Amino acid sequence: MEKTKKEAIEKKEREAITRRKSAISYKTREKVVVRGYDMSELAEAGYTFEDGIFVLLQGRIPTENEMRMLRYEMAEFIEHSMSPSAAAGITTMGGRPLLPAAIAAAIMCFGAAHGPGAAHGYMCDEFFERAVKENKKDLKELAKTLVDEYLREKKPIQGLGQPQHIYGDPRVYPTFRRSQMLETAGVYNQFQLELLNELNRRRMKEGKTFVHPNMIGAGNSSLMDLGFSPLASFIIGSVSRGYSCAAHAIEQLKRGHAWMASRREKMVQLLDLAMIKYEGPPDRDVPPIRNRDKYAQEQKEKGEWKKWNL
Amino acid sequence: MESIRKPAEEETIYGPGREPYEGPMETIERGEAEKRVAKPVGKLVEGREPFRWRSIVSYKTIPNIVLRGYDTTRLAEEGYGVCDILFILFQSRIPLSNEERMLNYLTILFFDDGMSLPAVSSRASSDGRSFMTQAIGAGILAFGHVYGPFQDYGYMMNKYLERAEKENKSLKEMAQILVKEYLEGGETILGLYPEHVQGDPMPYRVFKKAESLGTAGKYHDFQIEIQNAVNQVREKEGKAKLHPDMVGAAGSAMLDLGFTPEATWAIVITTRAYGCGAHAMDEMEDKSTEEPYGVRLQGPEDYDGIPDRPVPPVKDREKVAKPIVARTVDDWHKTFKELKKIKGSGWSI
Repeated sequence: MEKTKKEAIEKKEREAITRRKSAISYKTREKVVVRGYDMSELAEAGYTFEDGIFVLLQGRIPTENEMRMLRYEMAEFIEHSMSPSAAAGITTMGGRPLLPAAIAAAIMCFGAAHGPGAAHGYMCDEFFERAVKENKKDLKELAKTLVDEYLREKKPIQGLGQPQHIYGDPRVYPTFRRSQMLETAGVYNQFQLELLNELNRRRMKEGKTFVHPNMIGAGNSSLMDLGFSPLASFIIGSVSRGYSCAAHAIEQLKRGHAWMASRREKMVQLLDLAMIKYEGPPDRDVPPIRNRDKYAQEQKEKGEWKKWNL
Repeated sequence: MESIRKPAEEETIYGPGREPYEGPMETIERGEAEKRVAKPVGKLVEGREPFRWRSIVSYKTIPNIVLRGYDTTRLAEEGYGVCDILFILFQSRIPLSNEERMLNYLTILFFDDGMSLPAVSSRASSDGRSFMTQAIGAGILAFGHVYGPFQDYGYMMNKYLERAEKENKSLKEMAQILVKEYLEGGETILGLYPEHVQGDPMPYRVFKKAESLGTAGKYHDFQIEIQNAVNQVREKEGKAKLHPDMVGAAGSAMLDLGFTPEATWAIVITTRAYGCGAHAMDEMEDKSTEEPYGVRLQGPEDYDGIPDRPVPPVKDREKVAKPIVARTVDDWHKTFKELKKIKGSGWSI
């Protein structure tokens, strides 16, 4: 068996899937080199996990304070208990695929609403670029312009508001404080705070409640001040959550029932039949297939289906 | 138990000559099926607690996020880092400094593996200009039983270590048993490079690091015994020495740190996901990749399937097509052997 495989490899009946230039890494028999650094050497020299992230995503070794700020943020990012990503990891594992499927599902759950780090970054960058172009570089003024435009266009201002932590995500203000303490807070942090002030100044006037920043507002601003691009920040935020989503998925694997519908559990399970609340069209007879066209034509013309069209 | 479909209707759907259905009728007998499911919801949940997300990992309230009993913001404020948190997350304990240092060492090695399968998958996905998280997910999905099989490796180690305890065997004896059983069964011993790979220094450096930090334990020792046992056999047969790979070196180090096979795999995969993200960004930034995989014409010179052939007129279908249904085991065996010859059919995997 092994010999056949060896022969096939030596014969090179088919080439490797792809050959691609890469600015990230290469490997030889002796080493794996990322952005020019031998990763074994980096680990042996005593650099940290967080240093490794800087090397990987920015190609540079950070200052001590930058490393400490990232360490702080990532420690906070890892767990956020029940959120769409954790639920995705758990429910995926309910079908008993291999573990990577559950982790991938959890990470892929991050998008335009859950942890939209990239969207926040692009929003900030767009306004900074405009500021340079229009030579209007006052952050307070810039924040006013953004809030004006976003409210007018009814677009969500990224970085503000969280549905669960209505008095502010507990990690938010400590993150702002920490980046100031470590002197890594820059223009993104300042802009975020100006946005917070500007939006709430208007809301107060209108008698509305105060909206606190969320972890995108605090965390992503701090990551971008550390030199991470919008996408790199998105990677850090979503992948860091991947660890805890994996733990939740493993808990489901080891302590929960597959399928998540067992009636032997004391608690009604997520996929118990009782959990289904159907709100669609009422039960109706299946028309004989010979009458299909007549039936379908009437149904189409009546138009009620549009009410249910997704 | 009368079918809701008339034979003529069956014929309309399935075409002429179909044998009348004689199997169980439940799926098409609405009346019967309705009787079975028409219990009110109240009955279904009677005597049971309503659903809640139950977890031994974490909870959150409006002002707190709590992981295994520790407030996560407090942990960050105290200066605990990612590797500390991974111990808390998976093992519910704060690690010793040396344990944290060992995990830190390993995670740096997990970040990337050059142009490996996860990197290629992420790059291919990002070429479709998918969401970054999709590209990362694609990379993660490349891990399986052959590439980075840390979970399988852990199961193998645990199985034989449990046997060693039960059968009162030394690690050396149990390693010899494992090697014998795997070789006789024609199975791959996980944790070792295959014959055609000459080994690299990284796994040996991992062993050394675990030894110097004092975190090397029974998994480390058992891995070394497996290497010795397999190489003794190979030496007798005049074959080249096999070397440990990163699954054997890092996998045993992670197990010695107290991580389960599942947790080990989760950490390796997720750490690599950062690397997948970097590869995806590299791909997106490179303008030459705006022509994604698959768009460039790949002609017959790279095709090694069935040669070109004419499409038969549909009216001749019955003349051309051969039914494949096997009605006996012998038939099945014959069909099975034929199907295995079709590349890309999945039958020879």
